[in-house]
Amino acid sequence: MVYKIIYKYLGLLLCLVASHNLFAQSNDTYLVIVNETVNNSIKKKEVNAYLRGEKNYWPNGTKVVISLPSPKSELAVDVAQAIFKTNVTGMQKYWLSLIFQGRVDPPNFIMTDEETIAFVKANKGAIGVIQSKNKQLANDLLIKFKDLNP
Amino acid sequence: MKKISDSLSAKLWLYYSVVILLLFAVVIYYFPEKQKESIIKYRSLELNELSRNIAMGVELSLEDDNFQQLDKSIQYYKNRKDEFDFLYLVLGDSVGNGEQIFAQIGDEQTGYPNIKQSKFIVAQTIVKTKNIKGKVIIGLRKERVEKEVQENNTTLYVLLIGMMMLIIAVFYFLAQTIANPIKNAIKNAKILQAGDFNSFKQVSFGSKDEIAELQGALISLKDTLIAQRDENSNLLANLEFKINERTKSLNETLLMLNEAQAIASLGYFSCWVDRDKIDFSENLILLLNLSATKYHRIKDLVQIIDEDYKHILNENFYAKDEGSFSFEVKTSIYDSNNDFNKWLFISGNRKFDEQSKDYHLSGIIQLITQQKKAQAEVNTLSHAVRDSSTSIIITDINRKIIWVNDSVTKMTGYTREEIIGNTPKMFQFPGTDKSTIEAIKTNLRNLKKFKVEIENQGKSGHTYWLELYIQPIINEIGKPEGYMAIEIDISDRKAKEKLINNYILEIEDKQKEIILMNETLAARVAEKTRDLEFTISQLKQSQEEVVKKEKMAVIGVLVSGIAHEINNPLGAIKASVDNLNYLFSDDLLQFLINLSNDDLRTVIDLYNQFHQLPKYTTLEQRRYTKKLSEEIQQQLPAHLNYSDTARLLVEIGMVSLNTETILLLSKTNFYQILKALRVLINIKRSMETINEGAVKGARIIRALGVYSYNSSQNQKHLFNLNDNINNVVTLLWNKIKNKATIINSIPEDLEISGYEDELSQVWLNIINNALQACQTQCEILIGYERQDNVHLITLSNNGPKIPKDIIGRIFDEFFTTKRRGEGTGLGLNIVRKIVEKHGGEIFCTSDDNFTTFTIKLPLA
Repeated sequence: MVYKIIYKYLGLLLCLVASHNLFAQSNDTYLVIVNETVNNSIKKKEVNAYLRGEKNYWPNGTKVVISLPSPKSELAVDVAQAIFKTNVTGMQKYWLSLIFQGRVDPPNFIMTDEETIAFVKANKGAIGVIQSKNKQLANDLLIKFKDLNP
Repeated sequence: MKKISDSLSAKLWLYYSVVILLLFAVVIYYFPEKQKESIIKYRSLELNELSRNIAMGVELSLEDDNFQQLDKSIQYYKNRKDEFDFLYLVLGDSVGNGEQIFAQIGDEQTGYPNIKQSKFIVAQTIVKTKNIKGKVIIGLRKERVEKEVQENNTTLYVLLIGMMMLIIAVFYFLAQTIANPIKNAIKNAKILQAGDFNSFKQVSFGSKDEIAELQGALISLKDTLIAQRDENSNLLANLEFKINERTKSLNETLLMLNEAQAIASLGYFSCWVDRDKIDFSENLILLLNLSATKYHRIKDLVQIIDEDYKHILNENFYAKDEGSFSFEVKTSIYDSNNDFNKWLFISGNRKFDEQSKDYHLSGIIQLITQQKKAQAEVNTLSHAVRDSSTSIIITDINRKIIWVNDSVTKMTGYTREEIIGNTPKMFQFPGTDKSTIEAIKTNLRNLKKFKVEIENQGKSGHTYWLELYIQPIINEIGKPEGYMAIEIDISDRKAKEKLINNYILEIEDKQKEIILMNETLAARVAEKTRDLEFTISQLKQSQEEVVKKEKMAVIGVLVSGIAHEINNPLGAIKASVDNLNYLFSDDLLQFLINLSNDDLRTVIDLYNQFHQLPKYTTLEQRRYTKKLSEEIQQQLPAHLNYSDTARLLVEIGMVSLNTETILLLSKTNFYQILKALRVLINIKRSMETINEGAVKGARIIRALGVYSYNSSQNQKHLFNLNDNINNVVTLLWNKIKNKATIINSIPEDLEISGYEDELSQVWLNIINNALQACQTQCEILIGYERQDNVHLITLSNNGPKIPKDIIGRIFDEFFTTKRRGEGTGLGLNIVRKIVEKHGGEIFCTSDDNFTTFTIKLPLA
C-alpha cells in the first residue's frame, strides 16, 4: 500500500518533470522567423516540415532556404530536440543522410541570432530560428501563420 | 610470271609493308590490354579522388557545419551517375558494433560488406570526426570498363586498317620511284651482256648520284664493247678473206703442180757414168731447154745446175756404190717467163756393171718449181698463223686437236705436244658453264658456224674468258674434215663486267642505305624544321621587342631634354598668365571707360601703331630712354619728369618724338594714357608669348607622338619628309640648340612613301650619334637628291673620322664604340634594318672633314 502511494506520487512527480520539459521545449525558447515574401502563407503545423527539409517550396512557389543554429551554439540543443527530436549530433547526421543522398539543399548553420536575422532578411524564401529573448530584433520577420490570421 | 624476289620495287614495297604490318600487329596485340589497364587505373584514381572529396565533405559537414562541399561532391556524383554503380556512406555505431550503410546512392547488389573484387572496381576513404567514424565507398562494375575498351578498340581497328592501307599505297609509289632508275640500269647491263646494243636505252638522269654514275659507266662500257666487236669482226673477216685467198691460190698451185708433174713424169734419163753419155727423153730435153740434135753428156746437166747444188748432183751421180738416190737442185734454166730459178727433182738408181766396171744411172727428172713456191708460201702462211696473237685450234672430225698456234700455248701454259691429240675438253674445268658446253656440242653436230663465250682453265689453274668463233672445215667434196676455232681472250672485258655487276650490287645496297637514311633524315629535318620555326617566331618576336625597347630607350635618353623643352614654353605661359592677372585690373578698365572719345582714339591709334613692335632689350631700353629724355628736354622744356616719361615711351615702343607724341605729351592726362597703353601692349605681348609657348609645346608633343607611335602593323603611306625630319630635330632640340647647327636642305613639299615613325627613328639615331660624336660645335647637313628611281638622302656631320677598321662594322648588331652602359650597339643596326625594310640601302663614308650617311630609298 505504502509502495503504491510512493509509486503514485513518484509517478506524479515524474509527470510533473516531464510536463515541465515539454513546456520548456514548446514554450518558445526559440522563435521561427521567415523572409517577408513567405510570411503569413504557411500553416502552423507545417513549420517543422519546412525546417526539417521535408518541404522544399513555399505555397507561393518560392524555394525554401533553411538556416539553423550552428551545432556549436546554445540554441542548437533546443532546436535539435524540438524539431529533430534528437541531440545535436543526431541533427547533424539527419542532414548528413539527406545531403549524402542528394535529396535536399544543405541548410545554413549560423552562429548568432543577429546573423540569422540578417540572413533571413537577405534571402528570399529563407526560414530560420532565433532565441525568444531576441524577439524584438526580428518583429517584422516573426512567422505569421495562415490559419491564425484570417 | 616474274617472281617477287626478282623485282626490286616489289621487294622494297614488300619489306616496307611487312614492317608496317608487324608494327600494326604489335600495336593491335598490345594496345587493347594496355588500354584496359590504363582505363582501370584511371577509373580507380577517379574513384579514389571522388571518395576522398566526399569523405572530406562529410568531415567538413560534421566538424565545421559546412555541408556545401559535400553537396557539391554529391551533385558531381549524381551528374555522372551513369558512370558509377554505387556510393555508400558506412558509419560505425557509437558502441563499436560494426559498420552499417548509413546512406547510399544506387541500389546495386554488391553483397556489401563482401564486395566481389572480380566484378567491381572499388575505392574507399576513411571518415573520422570527433563523434563519428566510418568510410565512403564508391564503385562501378568492371563490365563498364570492358564495354568502353571494346568500343575504343573497334574505332582503333578501323583507323589502323585505314592508315595501314594508306601507308602501304604510299610505300608502293615510293618503291616504284626508287626502283625504276635501278631497273633501267640493270636492264641496260643485261642488254650489254646480250650484245644487243641497239636496244640500249640512254636514260638521262637529272641528278649526279650513284645510279647516274652507273648509267654513265654502262654507256662507256657499251661504247667500248661496240668498238671491240667491230675490231673483232674486222679481224675475223680479214682472216677469213686471207684463208680463202690462200686456199684458192693453193688449189691453183696444186693444179699447176699436177700439170707440171704430168709433164715432168715424162722426163726420163739414162746413162753410163764412165762413158759420159746421157740420154734424155724428149720432154726432158724440152724441159731443160737442151738442143734436140746434140749428143748429150752428164756435164751438160751439171752445167745448168746452180753452183751451190752441183756438188749434190756429183755426189749422187758419181758415188761408187749401187743404190737409189733422190735430191732436189736449183737450176738457172731460162724459160719464156724469164724465170731462171727452176727447181728440179731428180731421182734414180745406180747399178754397177761388173763386166765393164761402169755405173749405170737411170731415173727421172721432175720440174718442181711451182711445188717449191707453194711450199714456201704455205710455210709463210703457217708461220703467220702460228705467230698470230689470236689463238687458233684445229681439230679433226673427232675433235682431237691436230694443230694449235703459239698463242694457244702461251694462253694455256700447255706445250704443243701436250695439247696435240687431246680434245678441247682439257681446257674445261668445273666452273665452266655447262649450258655453254652443251651449246658448243649442238652447234658442232649441226656443222654450224657459231660464236660463244666460255671460261676455261690453264695448266697452272688460272682461268680465262674466251670468245670462240668455231666453224667446220669442209673439204672439196663437201665433207667435214674437222673444226677450226679462233679464240679471242676477253678476260679483261669479263673482269670489267664483273666489276660493274659488283658495282651494281653495291649501288643497290647503297640505295637501300640511302632510302633508310632519307627516311631518318626526313624525320629529323621535320623535327628540326619545327624547332627552327618555333625559334624563328621567338626571335622575330624578340627582335620586334628589341627594336621597340631601343626606340623607347632613345626616348628615355632624350626625355630630360624634351621635358626641358616643354617646360620652357610652359614657364613662359605661366609667367605671361601671371602678368595678365597682374595687368588686368578694375582701375585699368575704369580708366579706359572714363576716357574721352579723343583720348580713347589716341590710345587705340597708338596701340595699333606699337603693339607689333618688338620688345627692346634692357640695354637698348636704357640707350633709347637716355636719348628720348634728351629730346623731350630739348623740345618740351616745360615738361616735368621727362626721364620717367621717356622710359614709359620706350617701354611702349616709341624711341623718337614726332608730332603725335608731342601732342600727346601736351595733354594733362598723358601719363595715365601712356600707362594704360603700356598695360594694353604688355597684355598683347603676354598673349603672344602664351601662343608661342603653346605652339612650341604642341609641336614637341606631336613630334614625340609621331616618333613613339608603333606602326609595325600599318601600311606604308605618303608623308612629308621635311616635317618628319623637323619632328626629330624638335625632339633633339635641347641637345642641338647649344651645340649644333643643322642645315636642312630637304624640299619643303617633298612627300615620300614609307613607314613614317620608323624613318623618324632612322634620322633620330643618326643625328643623335652625330651629336654624341662631336666634341665641340657640331655642324649637321641634311641633303636630298633625286636619282633615277631613288630618293638619295644624306646626313653629314663634322665629327671625328670613323677609323677604317671599324667603319665596316658600325651597322653590325651589338657593335658600339661607346662605353659600357652608354650604348646598346643596336641603333645603327636598327637603322639598317628599317632602311632595308623599305627596300633601300645605307652606307657610310668618313674622312677628316665629314662623316656622311647616305640613304637610298625607292620612290614607291
